Amino acid sequence: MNKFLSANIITSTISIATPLFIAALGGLFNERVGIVNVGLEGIMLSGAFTSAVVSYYTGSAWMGVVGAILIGILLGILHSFICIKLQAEHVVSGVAINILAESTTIFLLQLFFGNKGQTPTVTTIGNLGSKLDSIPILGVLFHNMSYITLIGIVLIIISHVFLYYTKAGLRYRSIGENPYAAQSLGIDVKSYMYIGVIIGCAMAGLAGSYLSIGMLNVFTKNMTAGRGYIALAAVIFGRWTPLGSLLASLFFGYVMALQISTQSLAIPAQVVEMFPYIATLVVLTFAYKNAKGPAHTGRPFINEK
Amino acid sequence: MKDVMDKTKKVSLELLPSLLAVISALIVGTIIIILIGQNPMAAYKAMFKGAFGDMRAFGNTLQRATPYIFGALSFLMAANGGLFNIGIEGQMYIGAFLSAIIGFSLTGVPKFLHLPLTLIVAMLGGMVWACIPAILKVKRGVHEVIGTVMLNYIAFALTGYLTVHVFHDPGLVAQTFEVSQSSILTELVATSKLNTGFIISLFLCVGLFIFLYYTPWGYGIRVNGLNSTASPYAGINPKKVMMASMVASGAISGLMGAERVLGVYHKFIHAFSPGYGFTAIAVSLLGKNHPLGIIPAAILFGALETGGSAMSIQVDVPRELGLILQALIIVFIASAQFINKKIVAMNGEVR
Repeated sequence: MNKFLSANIITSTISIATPLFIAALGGLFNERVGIVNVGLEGIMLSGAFTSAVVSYYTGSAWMGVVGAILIGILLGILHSFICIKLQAEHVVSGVAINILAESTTIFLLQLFFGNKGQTPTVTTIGNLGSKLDSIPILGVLFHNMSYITLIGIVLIIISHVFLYYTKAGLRYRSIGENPYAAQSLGIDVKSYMYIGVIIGCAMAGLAGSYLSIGMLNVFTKNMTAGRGYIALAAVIFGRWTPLGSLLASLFFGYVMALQISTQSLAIPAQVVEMFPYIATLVVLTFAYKNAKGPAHTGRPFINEK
Repeated sequence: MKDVMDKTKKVSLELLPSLLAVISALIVGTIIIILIGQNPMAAYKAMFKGAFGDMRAFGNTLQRATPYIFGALSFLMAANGGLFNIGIEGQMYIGAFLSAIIGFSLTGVPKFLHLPLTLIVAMLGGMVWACIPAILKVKRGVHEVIGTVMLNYIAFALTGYLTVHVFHDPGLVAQTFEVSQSSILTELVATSKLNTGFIISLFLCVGLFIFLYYTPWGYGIRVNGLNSTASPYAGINPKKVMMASMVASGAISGLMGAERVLGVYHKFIHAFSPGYGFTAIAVSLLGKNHPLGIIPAAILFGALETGGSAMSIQVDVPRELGLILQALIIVFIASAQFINKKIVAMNGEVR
């Protein structure tokens, strides 16, 4: 088989990309209503932890997924409250969420399982297996795909249709560009913002669940290992669009999969680790000068009413 | 007399949100301790004793506070100039790594040359790393938060690569060789690892306080941070000021890394930081982005760590409670900015 394109590499590319593009989609939903979310990392970590714990105690991985989404919603409420209601610095809230998630997950590991490293093995979501094999050509792709990946792809399609083919989506996009103009057209800006941030954070929670009960069958401390930041990079690399974020994540995933499968080619792991960040910086600097994302992102929306 | 009254009123109003944040965090902490079936008074007492109980405990607390003092100074320097530097972590890694390289590669050089040289190279490294996002911001309009976040991971992976593949000390841990004696920051309190880097950080606090509040350059930086669209009218070039404050911020981050290497580990260890550069942002906000205000804030954060460890030994509460308290303080301090805005709105003249 070809070193650069084998079934193995395709499978692991999709697997590595899954948490990235789901979290990136979450980040995009934040940024499109003007909210920066560097807390993606912490929300993913919380999602990974919660889903593993729920799966362990209930024996149902799907309950774990629900748990991860719920913790995402909870942290989304916190983030939106701090950023929208209190108009505090978005990045500070995100950093707080990251530190809170890191310390709390270790604290709770110790309380629940008496060790600070990892949970016992838990029930996993499992793969699609042969269920979609009947689809011509593409069927093989789905064979080793997790249900969470499938959910993620569906979410990408729904988000794309929502943002570009519905009235609400157009309004949604307008808020990140200029909330004041949106408001003057009678759009309930703050409701859109709250809902957008909370949905986005729920997606980040879902992305986290893939790490502990999709890809693996255990939660280990700090298992996100910077994936939240790579997801942020994927949002930018994908020009703040759902399909772009998916492609960016697949691209990053492919580079990492290549590194794993070609360790004999001696590309050091750290060089590959750097890749998504360097690529994003280069693209930001040279490739598209005016692609700066939603204009109002990161700034407070002060409602004069 | 009225002036003194006004000044006191102003300072206490400034301190109010920070105090509220700390108190709120301690209250939530109390609830957590009760929920896990332990006695909060006993836990907090053990924590306090562990942080301030004797000379060694206090030394440990100050040792843990040192990177937060440097990091918060770095953050406030950039923030005063109008930039949000969340790249402290990466700049620190670069500074730490370079100080280790200069530290072990030179031998037989007298200390009065070797140590300053090592510190200067670390500062230059941090400066260069901070310059990249600053230039991207000024020239290409790339938001500094994005630029610095990307560079954090690049620094992390780059120093990791060089440590593992180029300067690897034989052994299982990914670390460099040990630095020579002539580049070490002397320990101040035995076994605490508290070193002369702490003294340097205090001098830097005072120096930056004088610079920012009593010199025209410092005034220029602060005006720019408050309102960069107005600064051209005061004869200030906002781009130049942003660059300068970011460069200074990076230099301090580099120093922060050098202190860890030369004073604590005596070598560069891959991934040594538990997130100093991020927590330092919170320390700076808790200290109201003021060079003197951050000292008690950093000591509090150091105390939560050393106290947390001591507490976990005496009372059955995991030591991560100290870190959770840190995180809660950040959540509340982020929220408390709101209180400040309310206060400003109520008495317009206070600021």
